[in-house]
Amino acid sequence: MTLDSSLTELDQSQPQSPISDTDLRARIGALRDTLNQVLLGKHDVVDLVLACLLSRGHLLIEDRPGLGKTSLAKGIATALGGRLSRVQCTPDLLPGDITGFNVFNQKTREFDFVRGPVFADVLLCDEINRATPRTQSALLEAMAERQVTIDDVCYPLAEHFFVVATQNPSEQHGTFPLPEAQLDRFAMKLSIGYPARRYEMELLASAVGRADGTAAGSEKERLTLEELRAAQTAVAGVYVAPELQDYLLDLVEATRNDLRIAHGVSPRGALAWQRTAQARAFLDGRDYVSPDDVQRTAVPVLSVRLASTKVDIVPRIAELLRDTPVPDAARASSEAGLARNKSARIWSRLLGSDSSGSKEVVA
Amino acid sequence: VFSNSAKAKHTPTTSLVRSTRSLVVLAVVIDEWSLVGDEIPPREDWIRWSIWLVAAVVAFLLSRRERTSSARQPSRLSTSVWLAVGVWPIVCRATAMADTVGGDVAPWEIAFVRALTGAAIVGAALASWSRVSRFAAAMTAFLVLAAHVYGDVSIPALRVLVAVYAAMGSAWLMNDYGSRSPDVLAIKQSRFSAWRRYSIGGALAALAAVAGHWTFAPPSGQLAAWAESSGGNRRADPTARSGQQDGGGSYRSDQVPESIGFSESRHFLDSPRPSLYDVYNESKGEPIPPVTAGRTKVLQSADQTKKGGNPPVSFEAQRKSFTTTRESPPPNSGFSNREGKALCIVEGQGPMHLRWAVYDRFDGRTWQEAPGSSPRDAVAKTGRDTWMRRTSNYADLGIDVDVRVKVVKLTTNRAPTPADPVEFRCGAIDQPDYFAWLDDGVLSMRYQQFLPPGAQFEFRCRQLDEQCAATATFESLGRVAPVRRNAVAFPRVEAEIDDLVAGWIGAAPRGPRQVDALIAGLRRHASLDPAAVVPPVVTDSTVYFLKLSRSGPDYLFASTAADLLAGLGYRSRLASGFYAGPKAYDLASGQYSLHSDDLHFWAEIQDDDGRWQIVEATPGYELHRPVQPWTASLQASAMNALNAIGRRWPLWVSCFAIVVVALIRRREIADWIATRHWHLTRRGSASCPVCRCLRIVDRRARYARVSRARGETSLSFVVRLGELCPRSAATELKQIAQWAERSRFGVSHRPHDQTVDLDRVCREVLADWTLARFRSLSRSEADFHPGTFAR
Repeated sequence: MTLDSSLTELDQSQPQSPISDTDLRARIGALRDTLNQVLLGKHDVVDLVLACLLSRGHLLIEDRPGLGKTSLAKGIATALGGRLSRVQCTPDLLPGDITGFNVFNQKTREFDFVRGPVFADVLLCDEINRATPRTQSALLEAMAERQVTIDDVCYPLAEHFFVVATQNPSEQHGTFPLPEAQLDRFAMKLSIGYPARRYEMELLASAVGRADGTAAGSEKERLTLEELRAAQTAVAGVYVAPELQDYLLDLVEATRNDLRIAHGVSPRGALAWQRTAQARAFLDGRDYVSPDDVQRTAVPVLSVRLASTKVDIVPRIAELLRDTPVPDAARASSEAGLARNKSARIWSRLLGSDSSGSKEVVA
Repeated sequence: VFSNSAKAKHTPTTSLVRSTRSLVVLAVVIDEWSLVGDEIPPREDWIRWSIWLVAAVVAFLLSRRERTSSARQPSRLSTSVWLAVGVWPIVCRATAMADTVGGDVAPWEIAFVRALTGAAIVGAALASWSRVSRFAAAMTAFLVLAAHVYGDVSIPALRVLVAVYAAMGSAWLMNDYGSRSPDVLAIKQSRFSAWRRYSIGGALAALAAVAGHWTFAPPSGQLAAWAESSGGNRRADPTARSGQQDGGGSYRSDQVPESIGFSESRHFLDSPRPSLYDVYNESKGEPIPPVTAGRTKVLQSADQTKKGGNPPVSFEAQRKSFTTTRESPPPNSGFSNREGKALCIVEGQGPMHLRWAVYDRFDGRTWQEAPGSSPRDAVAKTGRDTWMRRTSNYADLGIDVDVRVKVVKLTTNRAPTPADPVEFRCGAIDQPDYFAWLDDGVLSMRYQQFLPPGAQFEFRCRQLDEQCAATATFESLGRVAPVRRNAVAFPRVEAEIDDLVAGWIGAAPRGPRQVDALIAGLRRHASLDPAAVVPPVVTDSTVYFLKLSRSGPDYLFASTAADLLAGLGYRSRLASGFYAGPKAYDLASGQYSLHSDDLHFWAEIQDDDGRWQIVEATPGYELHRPVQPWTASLQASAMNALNAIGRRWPLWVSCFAIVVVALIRRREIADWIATRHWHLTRRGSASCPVCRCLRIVDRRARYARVSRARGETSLSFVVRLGELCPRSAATELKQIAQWAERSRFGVSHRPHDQTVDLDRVCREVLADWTLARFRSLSRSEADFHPGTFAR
C-alpha cells in the first residue's frame, strides 16, 4: 500500500464536515480578526492562541498585570459564543469552588449537585498560581479527560472545554508554583508583552468615549461550536510527513538528553506539539506541516514543560532548535525522492547519516 | 525566529574548526603519499591512493556537517562498513609499506598504526555522533604519541609531516572535546573558548613531543623493539633471530614476526650481534637458573659442642634433610672485560670500517701492499688549535662525521683511520711532519715511530651519504675478457666465472647499482666460514672460492670482490682494518672496543673524484652510510624538485596557473557546472527541478557566505532574502521555496499548481539570484549573517 493510497483511505474514513473548507477558513480568519481587535498588535500571540484552541489544548498566559490576559480570554469566549466562567484563584479557594459540590436538599431529602464554574466552554482561571496545590489539582482531571468526578459520579464537561489560565511572574509572595503534572496539561504557555507604541496609541484613542472600557467582537463574527468542531477535525487531518515527525522526535530527544534540563518533554507533550504545529499549518492555509510550524510552536509548547529548571529556558530552546538538523526542502524532490527512497536510505545507512543528518539524504 | 544580528555560521571559530578538520585529512593523505616507494608496483599504487583520495574527500565532505548535541549513535552496519573501508587496505599493504619506510619498522606495527590512522579518519567522517567522536579523539591522542615514536624513519621529509600531523591531531582532539564539553563534561562551553582549546592542544602536543623524546630515545623502531631478537631490533638484518626457538633450528625475525618475549635458552645466541637478551644479561646478570633439589648434611658445629646440651632436632649433626641449592651465578663475561683487552677504542657513529692497510696488487693468491705513502697527500696545519688536514681533499660532498680513536695496545706506526678523513688531531701534537698519509687514507707516524699507548686521534671525516654514493661515477679501465684480469691458465673455468658474474649483474648500469648487484650475487653464491683456509696448492683463490669451496672467511669475500670488480673495469683494491660493529659495542661506555678478532677485510673501489669507496662483500657485515640531517635532506629534495620544475618550466607554470585560477574561481566554476546541469536536465530528469533550483540558490548563498543559520529552514531564509532585496525576484524565490517545501512535506508530493509556468519561474530566479548578487549582498549587508534565534 502506498502512502498516497493510505492517506486517501484515511481521508475517506474521517467524517465529512458539512461546512466547506473555504467557509471554515473564512470563519477562522474572522475570528482571528476579532481577537486582533481585542489584543492590538499581537498577531503572533493571537495566532498561537488560535492554534492552541484548534488543537484542543489549554492555554497558560504568564505576564504582568494589565497586558490583556483577561481580555483575551473573554474575547475568546465571546467569539466562540460559548459560556465563559471566571475563577479568581486565591489561597482560600477550595476544589469544590471550581468543580461543584453536593448540597442536601431538605425538600427532596437528596443531595443535589451544584455545578461549579468548570462546567463551561471557556474557563478563565485568573492568577492560578495563587490557588493552593490541592485546588490546582482539581483541574487535572478536567483538563486531561474533560470530566470531573465527585463522590464517585463522573460529570462530563463541555466538548470544547478550554482552559485559559493566567499567572503573574513578578509577584511570588503567597503563590504556589504549578506542579509539573499540572503544567503538562497545558498545551502552551504564552507571554503577551507590551504592545508597540502605535498600537497603544490606537488603544488609547479607542477608549475615549467608551464607558465600559472593553471591546468585544460582534455577534456575527462569532464562531459556532459546530464550526469549531469542524475546524478541530480539519486540524487533526493536516498531514505530517515522517521526516518532520522524525525531526520533532529529535528535538524531543534533545530535551531529554540535555543535562541542563531536568526533565525532557513527555510523549503527551510531543503529541501536543505535533497537534499545535498542525493547527499552525492550518491557520496558514496549508494542508501539511512544515518545519517552520514546528519551530514557531517550539517556545510556547516547550516553555510550559521545561519551566521547572533554573536555567533561562527560551535561549536553551533556541539552542536546541539551532543544533538539531532541520529537514531541508531543497535537498530532495518528491517524485524522484519516492522512487529513490529505498536506495537513498540504504546509502544513508552506509554513510552513517541515518540518525542525525539524514534529512539531507533521505528523500 | 531568526535574527539578523549575530554571525555564527562563519565565525572565525567555525572556520578554524573546518580548516582544522580539512587539514587533518589533508595531512594524512600527504603522509600516505610520502610513503610511496619504488618497491610498490605503480599500478597498484595508483589504485590504492585513488581509494584513499576518495575516502579523504568523503571524510572531508562529511566532516563539514555540523555536530549536534542531540545526535544519536551511528548504526553498527555503517560503523562496520566504514571501519572496513578505512582499515582493511592499510593492513593489506603493511608489508610493502614497511619495506618502503625502512628496515627498522616491522610490518605488524605499520599495520597497527596505519589501521588506527584509518580508524581515526573514519572517526572524522562519523564524528557527528558523540561516541564515535570520542573514539576518534582517543585515536588521535594515540597517533600524536605514535608520530613522535616514528620521528626517525628513514624518510627525513616525513618528520615535518609527522610534526604537523601531531600538532593537527592535538588541535583536533582538543577541539573535539572542547566542542562537546557541554554534553560530555557538563561544562559550560564558554569556559572553553576556541583559542583556549587550541592552546591546550598545542601544550599537549609539546608535552607529548617531550615525553616521546625522553621516553623513546633513541626512537628506532619503538614498537618493534618490544619484540626480542638476537640481532637487535632490525628486521632486515639477515643474521637477526627471533627470541623463540633459538639455536640450531632458529628462525629469522622476518620469518616469525609475531615472535616476542625472551628466549627460553640460557645460552647466548651465535649471532655476531648482541641481542637484547645479551644486553639484559650484561646489565642484570644471568637469569636465576632453575632451582635444583639436593640433600644437605648438617655438620657438627664447634659452637654447638661448646654450648652443651642437645642441639635442636633440625640441626642435629649428621642429619640429612632435603634442601635446595643454588649455583653461583657465572662470572660476568663479555663486554665489561672486552674493554681491558682492547687493541683500540673507537667512538663514533657505527658500524664503521677503520682502514689500517691496503693492498692493490694481486697475483691470484696473495695481495701485496701498496708501495708507501701517497705522493699527492701531505699533512698541513689548519691554524685551528692542533688540527691538521690533508692537502688533497675530495669534492665537497657528503656529511661531516666525527670519529675518535684511542690506541691501547697497537705496536705499529699506523693508526686505524676511518673512511674519508679530512682533518685530524692527536692530542697536543702540532707538528705536521710527525704524520704522513699512507695509501690514500691511512694515517701513519713518520720515522717508524710506534703509536704511543693511550694516544687519541680525533678525525673529522666527510663521508658520502646514500644519495651521494648512489650518484658517484666510476671511470672504466676497460673490461677484461674474461672478467678476471689474472685469468690465463684456465680459460674454460674463467668463462664459467664470466657467465656467473654476468648473471649476477644482469643489465644493471655501470656504477653503484652494478657494484651492488655484484655484491648481492656474491653473497648469495657463497657463505661465511671464518675458520676456512685456502689450501696451499691453490694458485687462484678466486676460482677456488667461487667454483669449489663457495665458503670462506671475510678475506676471500673481499679478495674475490676486488678481483671481480677489477675485471669489470673498476679501480679496486683490498683493504684491511678494524670493523667496529655491534659485537664490539659497549653499551655502558657507548664505545667500540676493538680486538684482534675484529680485524676485517673489505674491498674498495675508486670513483672519478679519487675517493676510495668501501665495498663490503662479507655477509653479516654492513656498510652504513651516515644519515643526512633532515634539514639538509629537505633542502636537497626541494632543490631536486626545483630542478625538475626548471627543466619543464612552461608546462609547470601553466599547470600552476590553471590550478591557482581554478582554486580561486572554484565557486564560480562549481556554480556554472551546477547551473548548466540544471538547464540540461531539468526536463528529462526524474528529480524535482524546483528543489534543484532552490538547492543551486542555496549553494550560491553559501558560497557568498550569506547562508542559512543552523536550524533555519529554506523558507525562512528566502523570506529574509526577499526582505533585504525587494527589487529582485523575491516573490518568485519565495514561491519556489514554498513549492519545494510542499513537494517535500506535502501530502500529494506535487510541487505546484500545474497551471504555473514552473520552468519560467525557476529560470528567472536563477538569473536574478546570481552568485555576484549574493556577494554584493554580503558586502552591503554586514548584519545579514544569521545565527541566533530570537523570540
